[in-house]
Amino acid sequence: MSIRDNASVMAAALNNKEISAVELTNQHYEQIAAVDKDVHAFLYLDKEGALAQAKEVDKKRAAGEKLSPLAGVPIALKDVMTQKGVPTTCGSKILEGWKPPYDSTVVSKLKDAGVIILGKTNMDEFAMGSSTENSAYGPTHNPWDLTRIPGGSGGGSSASLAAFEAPLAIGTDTGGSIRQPAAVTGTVGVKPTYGGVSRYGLVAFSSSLDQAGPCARTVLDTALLHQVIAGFDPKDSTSINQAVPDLVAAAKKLDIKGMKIGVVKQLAGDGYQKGVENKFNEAVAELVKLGAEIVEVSCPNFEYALAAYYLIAPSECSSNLAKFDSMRFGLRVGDDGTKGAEEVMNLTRQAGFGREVKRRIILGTYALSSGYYDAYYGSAQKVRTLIKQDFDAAFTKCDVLVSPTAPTTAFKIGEKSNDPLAMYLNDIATIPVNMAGIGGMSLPCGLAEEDNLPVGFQIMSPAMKDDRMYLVGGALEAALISKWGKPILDFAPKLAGSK
Amino acid sequence: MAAISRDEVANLARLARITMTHPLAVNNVTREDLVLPSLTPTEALSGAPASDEGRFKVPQILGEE
Repeated sequence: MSIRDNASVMAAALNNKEISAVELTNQHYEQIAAVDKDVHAFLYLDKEGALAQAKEVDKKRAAGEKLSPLAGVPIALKDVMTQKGVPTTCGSKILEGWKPPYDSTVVSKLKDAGVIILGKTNMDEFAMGSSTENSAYGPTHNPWDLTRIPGGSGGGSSASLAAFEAPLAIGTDTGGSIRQPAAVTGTVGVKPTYGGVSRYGLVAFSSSLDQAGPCARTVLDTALLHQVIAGFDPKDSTSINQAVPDLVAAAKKLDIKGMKIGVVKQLAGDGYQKGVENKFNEAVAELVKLGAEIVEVSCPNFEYALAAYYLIAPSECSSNLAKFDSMRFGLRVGDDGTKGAEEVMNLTRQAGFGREVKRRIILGTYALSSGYYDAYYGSAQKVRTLIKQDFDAAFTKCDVLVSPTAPTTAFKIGEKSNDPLAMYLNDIATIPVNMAGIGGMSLPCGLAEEDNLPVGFQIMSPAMKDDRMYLVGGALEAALISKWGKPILDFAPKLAGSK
Repeated sequence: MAAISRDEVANLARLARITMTHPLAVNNVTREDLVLPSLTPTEALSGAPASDEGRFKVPQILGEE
């Protein structure tokens, strides 16, 4: 057993007592110590808490207690999820040093399942970005090429998987922040159906779009983690009170004969890198070989998705981020006894928020202002309905939809950081899924010939039919790995000091 | 400028009638009015920039007039 193994292999080794949870946890901290100075996936390591958790799991296993399938397997947690007593910054200076007094539901579920939380991962500030360059604590580097971005906003989580610092990670996806980082690092990420995983304790960016989800190196590992964190939560008012489908069984089935798979016409062509399109088309050909039927579907309103998203998300962010007022928690600047509350609040926000966050607060405040609300926010919500109608019509013709996850492979750090519009275009293929509240998965489908960097394949499923993504993803992954002869991460250059 | 066609007017009228609800069929959620365990005052104040006698201490809100 090595840290390069998959989470399911680690779980089996733990179960057969070939390794203890404490040993496995320590091995991951050794890897982090060796490579994270170059990768910078983590913002905080909770070694003491993780080892205490691991000891507890080992004790229970020795006593013969029945444990959850992932008990003792380590995980990296995106720094936007609260964990009691552990610093949670959301990549922002305004929350530097804040220790939440409560666990998010996702963290409670991980702890109950004995999943060992190694630490908190880097992200674009308040999850706003596609490259992790907007973190107030410096960028994360892509383990495939340290001069490139690991995607965003969950670049720390995706990089930690690709650098073998953790076999599992938690991400959050408002417009692609789980799937695009997975695509550019050769890992797997799933945005569950909206309401499928609790948002309680997820620091809100855009509440009608935000969704926490699982990240891993294989489809099966992602399914195992998804099954642990999913389910109804009365603490989240938009949580869905329905049984979670059997995702693990779907990931293991490997049979997609007769399934209808829709290729979205609008998510191709202009703006998509040649190598991305080629690898996507080759993967579609694999699906045909596996017995699936391909149908082309048209979703004409996807054209307006990006524009509508950049009204809805900033509007909701401007409302959500108003809570950072320097009064009850977080940073306070300039309170020298001579200034009033409003001035202190202004000084705090000026010092505490980064450029992109300020840009979106200003955009959102403008869009929601009196007299503009209907024209901007109202129209954007109508576009959202049209996008949902496009998906509904498409799903009458097929079981799942597919597209490239991102239009390009990982770009260079700094390449787009001064061009917000170019940055926003990265999420053109992932945003429609959030707008309609359905499920989306990204899994690797090969290396682009121009740059030898991983390409992501997106699978979209109807709401609460998340099992379909795992069914198709599991079968495609198996076919591709047998074609390549080894998992995609084995093609990545080895990091200095890495195991 | 070209005249606006009948179809364009019809399309605008159709778009104007679109309403957005939750993408999924869920109803507004309210819970029973029950007293449940919550944060202690000390926990709630643990992240406060300043506190005093079990309360949040904030800069002056009203001017001295």
